[in-house]
Amino acid sequence: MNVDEIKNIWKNDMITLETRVKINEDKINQLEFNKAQSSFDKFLQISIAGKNMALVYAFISISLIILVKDSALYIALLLLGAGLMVFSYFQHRVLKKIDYASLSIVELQKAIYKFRKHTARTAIYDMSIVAAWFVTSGLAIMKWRKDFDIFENSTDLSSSTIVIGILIVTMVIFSKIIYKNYDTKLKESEDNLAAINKFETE
Amino acid sequence: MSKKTTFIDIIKKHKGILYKVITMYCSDNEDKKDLEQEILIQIWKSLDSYNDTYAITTWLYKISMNVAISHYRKTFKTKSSTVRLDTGLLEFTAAPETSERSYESEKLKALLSDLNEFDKALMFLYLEDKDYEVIAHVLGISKTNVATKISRIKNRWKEELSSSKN
Repeated sequence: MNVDEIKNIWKNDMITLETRVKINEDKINQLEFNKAQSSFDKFLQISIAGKNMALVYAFISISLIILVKDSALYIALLLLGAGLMVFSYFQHRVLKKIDYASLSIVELQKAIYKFRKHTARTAIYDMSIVAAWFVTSGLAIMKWRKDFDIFENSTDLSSSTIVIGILIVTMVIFSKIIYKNYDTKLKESEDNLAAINKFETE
Repeated sequence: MSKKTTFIDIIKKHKGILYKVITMYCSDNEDKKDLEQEILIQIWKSLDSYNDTYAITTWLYKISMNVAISHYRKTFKTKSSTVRLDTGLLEFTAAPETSERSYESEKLKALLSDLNEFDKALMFLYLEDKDYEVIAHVLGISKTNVATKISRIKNRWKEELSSSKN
């Protein structure tokens, strides 16, 4: 076998192979392709739902303002939480322009890895945004339900500060572990993108 | 002609292309069934937007290889939760016996499997006798680049084949 024969070997193999492949027409006829979801459709749904949830959280923060409308400080905190969620919504890109039929192999893989890179990078901010949202909404709910105002009671403030401090330190430690995971994903996406670029140009 | 009839006609006529792409990117049987489904769903979804600027085979190569490479790279890991179709739409009869031809085929298979997924797509189209313009279009690289890469890989294969003879 030498390299010039390869095409003929392939061609003959493929002729044999084609005679051995049959399509199950009855099965295809019974199928409802319109209801079928590909892995990408599911991925896109999750991605869009995740993005839209940020707006739901922002709406919750705004709604909570009614419950603490007497305190400007709490209103400011809730607005901050809502603002962060709106920011999160806008920084989330959704991978929607993916068309298997019109994009070339290089274009499609590039789009996917650019998206993955973006996701890994923003995930790091997202965790801080979610934490900040929980703190601001949690404090507002505590004021409304338990009439506990963290800013008015200095004893409570100091003990709460300790609790919040411990929570933040714990969060930072856990975040570092999770960040490492996202950093690995980011690195992987960057390496894959570099490999695709290399393939495109070399 | 209804969409389903057109779809079945295309699959029937070009089943070989689909099967070749599937077997090139997957070795595991379960994985092959998953990839088969993914490719068929994408062909169905893309059928409405098909235009005849390029041949139907080029369109099929593009869809099937785009899906296969994404599947190979485990791009969207939502396998178990997707709405699945019945499996085994393409049926394959196994080869009857081992022969000299199958030795050569195995050698070729080994050469292809050593390539990365992009080079594999490139050489697949080359072996399918597609011209450089079509290969460049499907891959998204220049014609010159296609020619350079093919020549590079062929030289590498030549060396490998001569070293395996010795």
